[in-house]
Amino acid sequence: MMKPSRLFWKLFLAFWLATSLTFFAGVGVHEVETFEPDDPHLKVIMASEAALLRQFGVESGAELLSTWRRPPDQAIGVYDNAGQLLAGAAVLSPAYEQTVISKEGLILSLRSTHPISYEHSGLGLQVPLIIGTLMSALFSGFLAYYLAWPLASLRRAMGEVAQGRFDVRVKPMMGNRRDEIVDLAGDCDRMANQLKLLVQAQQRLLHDISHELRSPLTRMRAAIGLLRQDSERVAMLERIERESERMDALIEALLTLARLQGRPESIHREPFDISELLAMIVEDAQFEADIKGCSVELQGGPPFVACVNGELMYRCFENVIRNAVRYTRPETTVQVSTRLSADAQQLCVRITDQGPGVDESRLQSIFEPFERGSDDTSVGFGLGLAIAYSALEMHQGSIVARNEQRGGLTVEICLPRARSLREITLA
Amino acid sequence: MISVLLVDDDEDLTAMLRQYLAREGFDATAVHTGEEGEEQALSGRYSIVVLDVMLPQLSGIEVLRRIRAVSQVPIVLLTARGDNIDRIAGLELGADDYVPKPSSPGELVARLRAIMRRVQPAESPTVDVIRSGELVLWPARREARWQGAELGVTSTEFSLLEELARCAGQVVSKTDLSLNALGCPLKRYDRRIDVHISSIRQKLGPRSDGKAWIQSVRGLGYQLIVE
Repeated sequence: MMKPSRLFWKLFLAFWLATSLTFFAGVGVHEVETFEPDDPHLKVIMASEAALLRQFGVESGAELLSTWRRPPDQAIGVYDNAGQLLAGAAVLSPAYEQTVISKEGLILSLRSTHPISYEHSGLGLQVPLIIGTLMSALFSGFLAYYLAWPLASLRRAMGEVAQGRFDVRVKPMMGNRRDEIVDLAGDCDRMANQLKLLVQAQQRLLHDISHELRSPLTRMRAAIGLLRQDSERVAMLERIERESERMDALIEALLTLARLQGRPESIHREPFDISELLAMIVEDAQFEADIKGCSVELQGGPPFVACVNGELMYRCFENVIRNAVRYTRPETTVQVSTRLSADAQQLCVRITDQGPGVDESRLQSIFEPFERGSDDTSVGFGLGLAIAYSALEMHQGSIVARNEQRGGLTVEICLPRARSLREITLA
Repeated sequence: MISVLLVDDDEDLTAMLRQYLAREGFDATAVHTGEEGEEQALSGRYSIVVLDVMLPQLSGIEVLRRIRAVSQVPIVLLTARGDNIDRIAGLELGADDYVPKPSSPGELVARLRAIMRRVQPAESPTVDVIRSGELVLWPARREARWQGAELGVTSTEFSLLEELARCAGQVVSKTDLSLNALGCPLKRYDRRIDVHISSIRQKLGPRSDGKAWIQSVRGLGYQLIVE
């Protein structure tokens, strides 16, 4: 059990004060309504009569009662112990009786037709007031606890999250409750989970990056060792140069990927003809394909001008097409075909190779950083498709991969024609 | 020539290491998968195995476990710099030493030499046999017997045990253990000796009073207890 929070006390005092005041006001109104103006009058007369009898005797008492202009239904009478009326009016059925010893030493009985309750204004009101206040304290306490308790657990859970412990879950602690506070707890749990996934992904990425940088570094140090052994091995200098270029390329790719994690409006866009861009990339890829005896075939369409970042789009299509050239079997063709959607607002580019394809289970994950075919560790970093994916996400496009039935992998890229920056930020 | 088996998936690296090691008087062979590594390491043709921890599919740690289940061939692990978990796990599983990646091939050769010195001691050993209580060691044959039965220890563990047995009953400092048994000076935060000692302790089992046969003396070193 935790110590009551400040919020608990605030809520408790507010509720208690509110209910108590309402209660007191209610009692007050009731009092005013049942107030009879004669009663206090009668009471005063009774008190004065009793005092007169005690101090001045029966005569003075009789004078007071005779001068009292009494309402017709009220009467006060002074009787002696034999039941004889000595002063005032006859009271046949006394509602109130008080014994007074007069100045003369007579034991008198002072009777009134109406009750005179000296207690009424005292204890009679106190009991319900105390009970009411206590009950209101009880309910206020319960209500304040009911509201403040889940917030205290939430606060504790958020404290845990701030400490980096993302496994904390608040919603199960709330039991069967159903309200906005529980929804908030659910949101917090989701947030903690999301943070956990993000941190894990970040750590994995860092691990992968350090591994990727370490391999060329290790080879460089081996090459330096060989050079130390024998300064004639000039080939090692080329090796060192190649490895440093590789590291440079990795850092370049990582920076591109980092830039793509920003907001869509953060990149510079201009109208760009995607069909022309494709023709350019295919021409470049043809050189590479020639070495394997392969060809790259483009079935282009009419110009498709979209508002994009040219460099990112270039890298995106280049990565996918060069990947296809890398994996397609020797002496085969890589097909690049474009298709315009019916409303001419979207361009779909299909890149099909004739290679080994990808395991069905990996069709999604190949777009994650550092995911690459398990059998090739020498070429690439596994960042190309991740860059393509992020670049398309930034342009509200999509990229999916699927295996062809007769072998080979097809990557389909769809890119919407965003005309202006305004449309992009609205999308 | 000392024959070395290199198990690493980086073919360019192993090609260069082979060249380097050849100049240093090692005959190195390279394989690129864990399965091949296990098979070759158990073939008995190699005096020492250099095993990369980060192998695709069958991991280096798993290969180490499989080799150690059958053979006590000296093994040096190549681990990622800063990855302490792999190191401690590797040493606990009976690796003789580790070399972080990336490091110069010179460092690898130094470690290989240190281990080979232990495995192939000087031509004329001063003592043939060391006895301490129920422990009998034959340094020339790298053979250890404990309570009448053969004690399966790796070559590094043997060297440590030898150092302790030579001075049985006395405290041997970690500095001396590192220098004489591991062949290199003690570095700061170096946990290698502690991990090897804890492995030897397990193999020796507890004494009748439940304590270990090798006692650690805080701040000083280790001591082999004599009955």
